[in-house]
This record gives sequence, structure tokens and C-alpha cells, in this order.
Amino acid sequence: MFTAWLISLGIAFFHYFTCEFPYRIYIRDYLDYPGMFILPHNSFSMWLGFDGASFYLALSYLVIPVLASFPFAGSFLQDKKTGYLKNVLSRATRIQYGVAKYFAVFISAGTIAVTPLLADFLLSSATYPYIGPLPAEGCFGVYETTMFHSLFYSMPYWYVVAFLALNFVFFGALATLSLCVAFSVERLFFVELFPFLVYFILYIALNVFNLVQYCPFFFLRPDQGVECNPVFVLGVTAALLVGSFLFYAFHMKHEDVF
Amino acid sequence: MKRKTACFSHVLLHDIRYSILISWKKYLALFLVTEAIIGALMVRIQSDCQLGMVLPPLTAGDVLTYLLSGAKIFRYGAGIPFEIPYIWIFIYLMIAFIVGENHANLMTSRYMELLLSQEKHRWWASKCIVTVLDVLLAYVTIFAAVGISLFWGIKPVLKISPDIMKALIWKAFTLKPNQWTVIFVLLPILTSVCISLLQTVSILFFKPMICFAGVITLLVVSLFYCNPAVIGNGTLPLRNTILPFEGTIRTLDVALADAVLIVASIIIGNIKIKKVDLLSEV
Repeated sequence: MFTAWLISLGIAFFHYFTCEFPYRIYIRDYLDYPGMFILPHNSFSMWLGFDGASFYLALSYLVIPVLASFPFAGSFLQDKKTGYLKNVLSRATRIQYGVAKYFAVFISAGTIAVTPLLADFLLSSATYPYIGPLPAEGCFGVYETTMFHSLFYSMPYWYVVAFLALNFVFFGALATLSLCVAFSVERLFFVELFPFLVYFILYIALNVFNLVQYCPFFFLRPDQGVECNPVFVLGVTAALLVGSFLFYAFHMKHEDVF
Repeated sequence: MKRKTACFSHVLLHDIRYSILISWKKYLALFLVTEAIIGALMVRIQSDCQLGMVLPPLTAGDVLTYLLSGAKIFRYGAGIPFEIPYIWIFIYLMIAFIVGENHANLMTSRYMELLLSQEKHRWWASKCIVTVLDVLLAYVTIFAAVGISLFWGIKPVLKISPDIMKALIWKAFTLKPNQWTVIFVLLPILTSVCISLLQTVSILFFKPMICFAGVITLLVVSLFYCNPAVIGNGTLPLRNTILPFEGTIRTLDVALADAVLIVASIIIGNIKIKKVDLLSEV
């Protein structure tokens, strides 16, 4: 958990020190040359979530599913293989073990998934002033047709919270797919990487068929490079969460452990 | 000596069998997705023709160039969003996945195999050979996918059509067959072997998942920085100085960097394996 968390924190720190910190000197220019700039750099414009021009955001959204699965996604399979599961189930009920395992995977994955965005937002807020985004400014890719646009221009902090929550739930639920696949697959690397594979296959397939608006790689990003339907996004996230839980609960109930 | 060679060949054959046994589905996936990409490319060319563009028939060279082209140089600060070419990332992450899973599983049974192979460096040599074979087999799979698509009407020649390149990569260019082979096939294979060996040697030190994340990072960083020292650039032929895309990657520089890293990986892995204390580890 600590290694994965450290790596995801590293992404935020690298972004901060290469793409945010060096530009702090230009805040003064806004005051020294009035009229030259519409707005100075601010905590939103410098945030990792809106920095689609550097590689950090793309890297985050490729590497997060791997890191999110790293701490506990394979632990269920390891418990099965080592016989630890038998010991636990002789002392606790299947429901207790199953629910605890599910939430351990979900919460650890969600926490790691939001760490780069959250840490970077805190760092950019500590360096740059808060200036609410203006629609006329045109600095952000959030338009009338994009998801949560009214939230962004009226309550930008809630927009950040909404995306963090969406990322937390989506990547948390995605990581729990490894629990589902652990019932039928014995190879640890495959089980741990399964959430990433699902995410990556969707990324490739939807790109091939030019349907990127339905791709999690794009709809989870706060910069919203493509226009997504919020109902679809929330529906997919909810379906993933409920579907993985039901599948896991069903198989957990019927798994022949002994 | 004869006995040691027999042991080595035994371990090597075991590794190859095991590798193919657990990886054939991944090669099949690589083959099918490559076919889907080629299918989508053909549909795109047909629709371009229907819109009035006059394009020559697709050749195998066009298709392979499209599949293996990678990305042009990226200029940060030009107001262009950073994008990952999905075909390129698919091919190289599939290779990383195949190599990662082969070695993630092989490493767990390494003590038994070490005993079988008698000498640790032979065991490590076997792993390195299997890594190289994994990469080569992935490329063979891509070529096979292109070969199968010849039945769909693609011309079986490796010549590149400038008009097709203009339609696909926005700039007309052509290459001599030997230049094309070096830039689009040999150099990416060499770089891919280098990345895979780095991944394999990293698995001796870190968990396979972390090494896989490392490969993703290396590939994405290579897209951003056009520098031969960032080794993933060898898999991005459009950045080569021979092609008219303002690239700064010279074939020799990349080949040299790859060769140095390949040798370093093999030596580091050998040292690490030699230092493994079998009794304490078991």
C-alpha cells in the first residue's frame, strides 16, 4: 500500500516541481503589466487535473489502475493459495471476511487513485491564488456541453470534489474486479493486473471504433478532453460497483474453500 | 561440459514451453486486436475514397508503417494536448504484459530451476533468451496479422505509398526498403528487447506490478521527450532524422543506447542471481 501510495504521490510532486512551481514568478507579471493578462495563473489552471499538455495527466490515468490494484487486489488469491482463507473462515463468517476484503480492496484502490489529483490540488492551492474560473476566460476545456459544467463555474471546489469522488468510486470498483477473477484464475500477476486489462482493453477498443466519449480514460479526467454524458458516466460507475459486488458476493457464498 | 549443456538446454526448453503455454492467449489477443485495427484502417481508407480522395490500394508496407509508426515529436507549450497513440501503446504494453507474466511466474519457481540448471548464470541466460523470444514472437504475431489481412485485398508488397501516408500521418513520405526495415522493424525490435530485458531484470529487485508500472511510465515519458537517452524513442520511427517530421532521433544513437542497456541488464541480472543465497531464500 505504502509503495503504491508513494508512487502516486510522486506523480503529484513531479508535476508540481516541473509544471507548477517554476511558473510562480509569472504571478507578479499580472500585477506589473495590467491588461496584458486576463487572469494570473491560479490554483485551477495549474492543477494536474487540467494540465492536459504535459504527460503527467495521461500517465496518471494509465498507471493508476495498476497502482490501485497493487496493495490488496491479489490478497484474496494469496489467502486462497496459502490456506490462510481456511484459517480465517474457521474463526469468522464468510460475510465478515468477504465484506472486509471487498472494502479493503475498494478503499485502498480509491485512495491511491485520488492521491495524485488531491495532492497536486493542495500543492497548487498552496502556491497559487484562488480565482474562480470564468466561462469567458476560455482556459479550461469545460464547456456548456461537458459534464458538471455548471458546477465548475459556480462552485469550482465542488467540481474538484465531484471528480475526486468519481475517480475514487470508479477505480475502487475497478480494482474489485480482481476479487471476481480470483475465483477462476490462479496466476497472481494476471489477477492483480486484471482491472488494468479491462480498463486498457476498453481504451483500445473504444479508440479503434472512435467512441472515446465512453472510455474511462477520458471521462474520468477533470480536463474533459471529450464531451461525456454524466448519466452514462455515473451509470457505468454504479453498474461496475454493484456488478462486481454481486458477482463477488455470489461466488464468495458458493466457493468451496475447504 | 556436455552434461551442463544438456541441463541448460533442458531449462531453456522448459522456459520456452512454459512461456508459450501460458502466453498463447495473449498472442491471440494481440493478433485479433491487430486485425481489428487493420479492419478499421481499411474502413477509413474506403470512406476517404468515397469522400472523393484518390488513394492507391493499401499495401502491406502501408499497413505495417501505420501500425508501427508511433508518434511524431511533441512540443510542450504549443497549446496541443498530449495524446498517447493507442496502437503504439497497445503493442508495447502487450509485450510488457507477456514478458511480465512469464517472469512473474517463472521467478517464483526459480530455486528448483536453479538446482536443475546447476549454474545460476545458465538459468539467467535462459530467462534472457525467453524474453527476447517473447518480443520476437509478438512482432511475428503482428506480421502474421498483416499477412492474414492480405486475403482482404491488401497488396503483398512492402512499398509505402506517399498518398496513403499523407492520408494517415498527414505528411507524404517514402523510404527505401532497407531504410524502412531498419527504422520501422529492426530498431523498434531492438528497443523492445531492451525494455523487456530491463523489465525482466527489475523483476529480480521489485514486484512485477511495479515493474509493469515502470514500463508504462517509460513509454509515456518517451512520447513526451524526444531524446535517444529516453529509450522508448526507438519504438517511435516517425521521430527518426531520416523522416521529414523534424525528429532528432538518430538510428545509431538509439541502437547504441539500447545495446548498452541490454548488456547492463544482463550483467546486473547475472550479479543479482549469483548473490542469491539459495538456502536462506528457500
